[in-house]
Amino acid sequence: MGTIIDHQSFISHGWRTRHSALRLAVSASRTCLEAAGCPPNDVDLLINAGLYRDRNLGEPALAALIQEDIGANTEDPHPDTHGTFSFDLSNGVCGVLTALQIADGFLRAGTAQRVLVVASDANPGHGLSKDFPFAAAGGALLCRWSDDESGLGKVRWANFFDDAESYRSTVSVEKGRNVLRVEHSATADEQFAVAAAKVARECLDVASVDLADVDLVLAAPPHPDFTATLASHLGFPAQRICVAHDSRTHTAALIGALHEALSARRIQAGSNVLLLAAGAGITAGAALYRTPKHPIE
Amino acid sequence: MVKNWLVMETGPDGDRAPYRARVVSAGRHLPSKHLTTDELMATTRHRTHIDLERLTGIHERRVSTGEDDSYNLATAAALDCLQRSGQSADALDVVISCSITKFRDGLTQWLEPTMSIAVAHAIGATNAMTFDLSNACAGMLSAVTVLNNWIRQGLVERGLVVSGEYISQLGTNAALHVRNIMSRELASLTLGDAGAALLLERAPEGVKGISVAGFTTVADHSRLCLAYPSSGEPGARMFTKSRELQKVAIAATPVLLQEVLDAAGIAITDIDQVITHQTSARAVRKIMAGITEELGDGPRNDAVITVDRYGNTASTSHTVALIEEMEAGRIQPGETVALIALASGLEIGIVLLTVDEELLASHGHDH
Repeated sequence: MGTIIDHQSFISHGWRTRHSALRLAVSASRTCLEAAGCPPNDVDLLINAGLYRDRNLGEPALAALIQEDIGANTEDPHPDTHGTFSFDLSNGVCGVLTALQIADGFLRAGTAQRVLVVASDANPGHGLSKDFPFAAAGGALLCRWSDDESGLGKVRWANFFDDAESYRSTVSVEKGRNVLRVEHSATADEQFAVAAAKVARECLDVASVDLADVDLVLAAPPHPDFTATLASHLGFPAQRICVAHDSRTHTAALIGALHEALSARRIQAGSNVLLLAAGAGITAGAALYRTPKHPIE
Repeated sequence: MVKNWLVMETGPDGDRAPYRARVVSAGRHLPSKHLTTDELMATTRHRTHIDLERLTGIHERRVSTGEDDSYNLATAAALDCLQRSGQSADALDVVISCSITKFRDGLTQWLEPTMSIAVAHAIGATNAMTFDLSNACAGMLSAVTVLNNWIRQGLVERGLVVSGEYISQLGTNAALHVRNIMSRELASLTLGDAGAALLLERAPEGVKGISVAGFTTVADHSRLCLAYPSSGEPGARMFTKSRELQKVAIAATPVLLQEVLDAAGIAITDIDQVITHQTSARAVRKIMAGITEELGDGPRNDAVITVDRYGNTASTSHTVALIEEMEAGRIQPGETVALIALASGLEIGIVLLTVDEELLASHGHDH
């Protein structure tokens, strides 16, 4: 029994979406819901884990705007049907894994039947960022509960506090304007990989699963240095670590990795997949995911 | 099966939860400087002819003059909360930070790493997972809803919901731009600074704790309040259609409160205290009047109002008010409190909790 990902979608930017995380998120959500044959009104919970957004919007949650734009129970409350609850969470590149953990709690309780996890990033535009390093990309996962043996396992987390030495992003005044800046150290990827390998081992130990029984690791961030160091520290073949196609993908990177694996038919029904992410903080999270017997789309 | 508009635990009949959650302790930190509404309005660049105190009922708010930022306020509140509970920080499974403002090192807004990992480190919560949850002024109660769910499902045993709002600088910026009562930045002049924290844990057998927590987003109104980093000044600016927001909140809240009452199997007259989001005294009274009119009766006591002393402290407002009422001895053990979130989004959430003796004792009341 567990939370399963029924459908996924992942999109890269087009001309209209290159400066709009909102449009990317809406487009990814619509694609995912249409592919699933799921009307937007069937979504009970919408969690947005994206960070870099239009004009660095601070309020409301971008999730509320996504909910309105995809048309999920947007009207005022009325009896005998259900509404949609939306909010944002931020945990950098680990945000999607955190969102899956939250989705799992609500699905487990029966409080929600369908949960949409969304993540997107784009240059905030209007000259509001300096050397924005991320690709404009967005992804969505439609989740539900499954009573068979498939689904998400217990998510394992570990923090290795480094006082933002390895990675930081801030908005502050520069030449009279509030500007977004992203900075990282030369060794950030290596540090993230070491943290990821450690939490992966703990996750496998808790679940009493051998690394050899893991079919594929879906990992984020999708940086070559991170992947190479992770393979080495984990003692796992690099070719069985799958990441998003574009190494500049950020919060949607885990969705991008799943998309990549499915496109390349690297995930079969009943596969043992390890979801693994590490980023700023340093925060690292890992969870085993047994894919459902029906093919994921 | 009855369908609820709110996303909430289904109550006693369909309850799949093996555990219940309770609020063990609450903490807050308020900056020492009092800024009266008269003092704030004296700083407006234009002659506004606005009697803000009469409009909002806000006499003063606490403001940081730079000594506290979002991080300091959150950390101080978290330490206050833990100290009152007698609980060690290393017993926390999760720390969730929920502020709108994430100012650290002055008016630098931090996106990564999270505020939660910084606060967790500062308080010594070495074993806690961390993440930030953002949902405008509903942030803390949204996180309570998530943590309540995790505790009820046995996924965690204990967690801290924390927020530090260094948000009065939106008022400082608004004072430069507000020209008259129709200004969309008027709501920014109601804001005050505060830190707040709530410690939740698995409730022992027989303790009522949190009976219902439910939320919805009425997204047709998602663009009624928007805040961005300011283009010309440090900090941020917020643009709000306050009357439209209030109108929707007044219309929608009674329907949702009725769902919560039905789920809990109680009537509105069984609720002792209602603490709504503190935007203005007038707005709180209007929402309560709407509830009484629609449900045919009201709670046992008048709505709690603390906005007159602290202003609108954003996501911390319910916790600031809850502590105020407990410390004033206006909440008795066993009483039922409804915390109602009304925030940009439009987010509406209701958390129904029974205050127990331990929680009251942590605020100096031995019953």
